[in-house]
Amino acid sequence: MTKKIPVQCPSCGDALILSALRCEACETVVSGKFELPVLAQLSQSEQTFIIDFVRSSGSLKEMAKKMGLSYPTVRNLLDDIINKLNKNEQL
Amino acid sequence: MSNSEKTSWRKWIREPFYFIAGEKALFLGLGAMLLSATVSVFSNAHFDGTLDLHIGIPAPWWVFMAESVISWLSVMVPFYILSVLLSKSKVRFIDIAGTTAFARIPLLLGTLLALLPPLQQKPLLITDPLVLFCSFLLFPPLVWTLRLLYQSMVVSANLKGFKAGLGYLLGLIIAEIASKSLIHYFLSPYLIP
Repeated sequence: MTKKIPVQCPSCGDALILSALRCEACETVVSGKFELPVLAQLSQSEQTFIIDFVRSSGSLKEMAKKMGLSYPTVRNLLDDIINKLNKNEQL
Repeated sequence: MSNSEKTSWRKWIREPFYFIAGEKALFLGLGAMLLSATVSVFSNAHFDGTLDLHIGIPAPWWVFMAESVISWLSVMVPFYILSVLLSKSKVRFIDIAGTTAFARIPLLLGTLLALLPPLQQKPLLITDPLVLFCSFLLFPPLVWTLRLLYQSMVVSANLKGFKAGLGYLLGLIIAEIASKSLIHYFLSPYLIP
């Protein structure tokens, strides 16, 4: 089972940060305060959309065909992700 | 039928532009306009304005087609201009043209309902309860078209909330004035006396 990285605090709803990273081989633990990468802050479906978009060489027409959706619907999904990225960057 | 298929089918009815827009929607919309003009030759259903469907006098096929095309163009042009002005997204002309044409498909049902015998009586007495009842049957296709026109603006221009409502209402008001004026100017001899 693939675990999803939680991006929001289940208690207060604020954005989560990374506080520890562990090496699987030697079990060294690095602790500190690390921000999640921009893409990791997006939902699973938004991340899948971006991966598919890159795989389609950035062609919205191809994405629309693959997803069985209309061109403006796919463009709107992309616009919503862009807006979300811009908002996250401003925070 | 699985749940996801049912949901998809319902979504198709409620929000068709989630799945179809652009050239395909335009092709289907124009096809429906051709068909409804043909049916109107028999039912005398006139689209004498963007929001109007009346049973009137007999007219040649091209008059019914011209009414549909004028009504469609009168919505499409203001919707496109308002979408470009209000939206931050890149609005494609073909999406507005296609979705506004597709939004007229329910009106084909209106022209078919106009074939009901009580609505074909001459003279048409609006006080007759049966005529009144049948006239009310013409409202759902009009309401459906109005709903689709709203969807057209929301999807094609990625507008939400106040901006979507403002663009839609302004667009419809301009469309109604423009269509009424153009149809009256070009097709007045064929309008309801």
